[in-house]
Amino acid sequence: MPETKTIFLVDDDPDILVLYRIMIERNNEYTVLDVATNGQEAIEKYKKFNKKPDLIIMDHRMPVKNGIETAIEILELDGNARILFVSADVSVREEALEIGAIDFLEKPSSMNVLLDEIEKALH
Amino acid sequence: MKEKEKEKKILIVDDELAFLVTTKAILEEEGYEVTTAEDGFKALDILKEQHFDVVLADLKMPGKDGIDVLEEAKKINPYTIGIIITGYPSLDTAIEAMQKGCYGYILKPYHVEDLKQIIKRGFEKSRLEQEVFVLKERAEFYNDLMAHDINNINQIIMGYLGALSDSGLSEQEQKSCVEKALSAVKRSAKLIENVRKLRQIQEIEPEQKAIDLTDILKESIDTVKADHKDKEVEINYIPPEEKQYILADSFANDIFVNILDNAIKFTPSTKVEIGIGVEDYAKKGKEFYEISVEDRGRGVPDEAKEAIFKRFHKGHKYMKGSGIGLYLVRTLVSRYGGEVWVEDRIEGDHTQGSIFNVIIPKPNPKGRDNARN
Repeated sequence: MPETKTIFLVDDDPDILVLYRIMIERNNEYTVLDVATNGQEAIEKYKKFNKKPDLIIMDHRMPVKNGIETAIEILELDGNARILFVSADVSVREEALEIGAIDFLEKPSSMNVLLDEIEKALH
Repeated sequence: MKEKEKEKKILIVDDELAFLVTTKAILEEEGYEVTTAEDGFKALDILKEQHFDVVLADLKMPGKDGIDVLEEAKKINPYTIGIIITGYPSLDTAIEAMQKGCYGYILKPYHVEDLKQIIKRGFEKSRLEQEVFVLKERAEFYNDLMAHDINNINQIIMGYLGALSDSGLSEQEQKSCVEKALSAVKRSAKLIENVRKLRQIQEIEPEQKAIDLTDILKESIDTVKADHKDKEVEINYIPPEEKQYILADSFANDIFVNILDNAIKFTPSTKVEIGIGVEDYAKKGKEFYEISVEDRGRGVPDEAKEAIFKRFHKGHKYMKGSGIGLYLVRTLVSRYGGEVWVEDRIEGDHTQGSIFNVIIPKPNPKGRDNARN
């Protein structure tokens, strides 16, 4: 059985997490490794992963620690981490790309766009 | 009216003592609160300590001249209105004063009526500038809300409706997509309703009366149950036999609707269990009811326990608050003189769910004394 690619979802909105999981896992090649609802939780979970996820989908505005701060810390822990921002806060697009995110998708985006972006990032 | 004038503060800066004394007397007669300083340095010390709406400064003073004082006063507080007084009027200084943001110019010796007029207009100008600032902040708040929160919800709607057009969905899956999209539309409507409520409470003076807490809790439960048909929601609340009253107004429902809404939203499972309890609570000799809403949701980590009640502060590059539901809750509870806070359902392990505690004052038991007569 071919190994599936793993995705780590970080977003403070539980409804969004459910949506992403459903849409992503409809493709048998992908598995949602875990979810986090704020930046601090994301970092703590990331440290504990035995096998790091192939992709992180990151929101920006979250309580405790926002997406940009979280992405910076994760990239410091693991320079190979691949982070795709999906956020309604377009004001941080440039910054996200500067700190090393692979791309920035603006909410709302159609799920096909998101899935294409995931496909592009993982192949 | 006179009471209000008392809060209107003026600082007069002049090295001529006789001028300070007479001007202070005239303006105090008008109901203003007047402070004086004999030179520019003393004036700045005072300005750093307290806020003045209007500063009246003599143009020519040894050390620091009036234009410098007013320029620095504006740096300390941008709404301070500066007025120059001078016995030596010249076009150049008038132009310089205006360029540096002074509002007006008055000649020495002045006519009392002219002085009163310019001070009155100065206060009006200060009030308008502050109003503009508040309105700008508010506009930014709404703009941010539309741009961010609504688009977050649009993401959910777009996601599920988009999925519907894919082939290969079972009838059950299609139904579930429609339900989830509809639920997101309700969330959007709820957000707009909260914004409207926030606006209303910013504009309406609170008029509180004794309100039946049991009715409010029952209504709130019915509302959230109707809004979350996509989940199986069980809310345990045993209404007391005796009536319980809180001192509040017609917005009190929104406190509990938003807390319950939040508990449902942050319970990952489709089966949601919530418990509501009401207890007596006393603090600093005041009597309250404490309403506790216990959920088995995702919980709130310690670092977020305060932040979840806040929202958008200008100048914060990164905003860490979330939603506006809990911000509305905090705003309403504070308006009633109560408090709201969140704790772990199981102490030390936030992942096991939360307890939202609200305390709201009971009405004054003044009826009791009257009843004895």
